[in-house]
Amino acid sequence: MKSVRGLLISLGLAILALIVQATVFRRFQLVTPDLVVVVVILASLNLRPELSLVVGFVAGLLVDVSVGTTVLGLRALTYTAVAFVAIQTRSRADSSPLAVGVWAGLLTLVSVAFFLMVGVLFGQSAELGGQVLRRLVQVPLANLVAAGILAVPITRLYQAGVRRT
Amino acid sequence: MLDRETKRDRTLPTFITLVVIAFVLMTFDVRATETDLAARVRSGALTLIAPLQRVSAFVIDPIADLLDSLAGLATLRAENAALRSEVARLQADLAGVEDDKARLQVLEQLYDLQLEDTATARTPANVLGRPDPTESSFVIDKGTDQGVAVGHPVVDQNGYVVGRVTEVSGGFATVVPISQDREGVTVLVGGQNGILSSQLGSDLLILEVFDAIEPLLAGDLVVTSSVSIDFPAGLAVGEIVADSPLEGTALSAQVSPFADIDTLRVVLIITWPPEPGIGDSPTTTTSTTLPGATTSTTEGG
Repeated sequence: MKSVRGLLISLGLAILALIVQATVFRRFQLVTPDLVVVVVILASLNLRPELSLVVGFVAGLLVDVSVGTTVLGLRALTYTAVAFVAIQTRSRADSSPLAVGVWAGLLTLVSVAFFLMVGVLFGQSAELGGQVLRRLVQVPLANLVAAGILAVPITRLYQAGVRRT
Repeated sequence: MLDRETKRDRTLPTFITLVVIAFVLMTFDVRATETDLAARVRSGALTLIAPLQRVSAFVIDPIADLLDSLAGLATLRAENAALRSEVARLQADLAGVEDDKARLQVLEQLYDLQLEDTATARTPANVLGRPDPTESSFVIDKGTDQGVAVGHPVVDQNGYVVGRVTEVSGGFATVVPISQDREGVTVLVGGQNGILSSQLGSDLLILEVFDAIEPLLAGDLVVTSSVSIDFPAGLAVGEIVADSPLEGTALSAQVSPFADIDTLRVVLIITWPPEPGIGDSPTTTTSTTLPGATTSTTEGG
C-alpha cells in the first residue's frame, strides 16, 4: 500500500512537473530546468529501487508522447538509466539540500549526455540540433538549483503520504 | 535483512526489462508511419495533456506578460524612436512597391496573364506550451475539429514560416519548427531553387543549391518555392547570413530564420494544399478566441 501511494505521488509529481515546465519555463528562456528528471531523481531517494525505475520509465514515456518530435521511448530509456544511476549513488546524497542539489545536477548532466548520445544513434540529430550547449550547461545547473529547493518539500510529501496509510 | 537483499536483487532485472521495453518502443516508433499505433498514442496523450497546459497558460501568461512589461519599460523609449524611423523607411519602401505594383499590372495586361488563385484558409491558434523547454516543438490550441491536419504549414503573425504540424488531435496539435524538422523545405533565393534543412548544433538552417548559376549574398531573402509540395509559394523563411560563392554548379549557405520561436504566442495554420472550393468561394472566414480578443481571418474573394 505504501509502495502504491509512493508510486502515485511520484507520477502525480511528474505530470505536474511536465505541465509547469511546458508553461512556466516557456516564458522564461534563461531558466530551463528539466523538472521531470528532478522528480525521477528525488523519487529514488524516497521509493524502493525497482519502483524508482518504473517511475523513471513512465515519466520518460509521458514526456516522449507529449513532446512528439523525438522517437518514442528515448526519454523513457534515458530517465530509467538516470533512475538506475541515482539508485546506485543515492548514498552520496546526504540530507543536506546542497548535497542533493549537486548530486541531482551531476545526474542531470549524465541524463542529457546519454539522451543526446542515444538520440543521435537513433537518427534524431535534426530534432536535437540547436540546443546542445544549452542542454549540457543550462539544464544541469538549473536542475541543481531546482533539486536543492525541492528536495525537502518532496521528501516531506512522500513521508506524509506514507504516514496516511 | 533477507527481505532487503531480495529487493536489491530485483533492481537489475527490472532495469534490464525496462531498457529492453524502451529499445523495442524506439525501434517500433522509428519503423512506424504516421498512421500507426505510435501516432495514435501521441495524439491521445496530446488530447489529455493539452487541456491542462491550456489552464496553466491561462493563469501564467498574464503574470508573465506583466513581468515582461515591467522589464521592458526602460527600453520602450529607445524602441519607440527606432520604430518611428523604421516606419518612415517602410513608407518610403511602400511608395516604391506601389510603383512596382502598377508596372506589374500593366505587364500582366500586356501578356494577358491569369495568375492562379491560391487563396487558402488560415486558422489562428494560441501557443499553449512546450512539453520540453529545451526543444522548440510546441502545442497549439487548434486541431482536427478546426480543420488542422498533419503537414499543414504554420506561420507567425508576420507571415514568416515557423514550421509544420506533426501531431494532431481533436482540439490540439503539435508544431515542429523548420529548425528541428528532419524534412527539408524547397525554397527560392535569388531566382534559384534550393533545399533548406536543419543542422545539428545550430539554430541556423543550411541551404543547398545544386544547379546554382550565381553566388548568394548576405541578406538575400529566402522564400518558399512554387516547387515546394509542403508550403505555398512566396512565404518568407529567412535571409542568407554570409556571402556564399559558387562551388562548380553548387553552393551552400547558412540561413537565419525570421520567425522567433521563443517569443511566439499566436500562429497561423495554413490549409495546404488548399481544400477544394476554398479558392472558389467568395469568402472563407475562420474565427478564434485569442487572449483578450476575438480574431477572425478572412480570405478569398
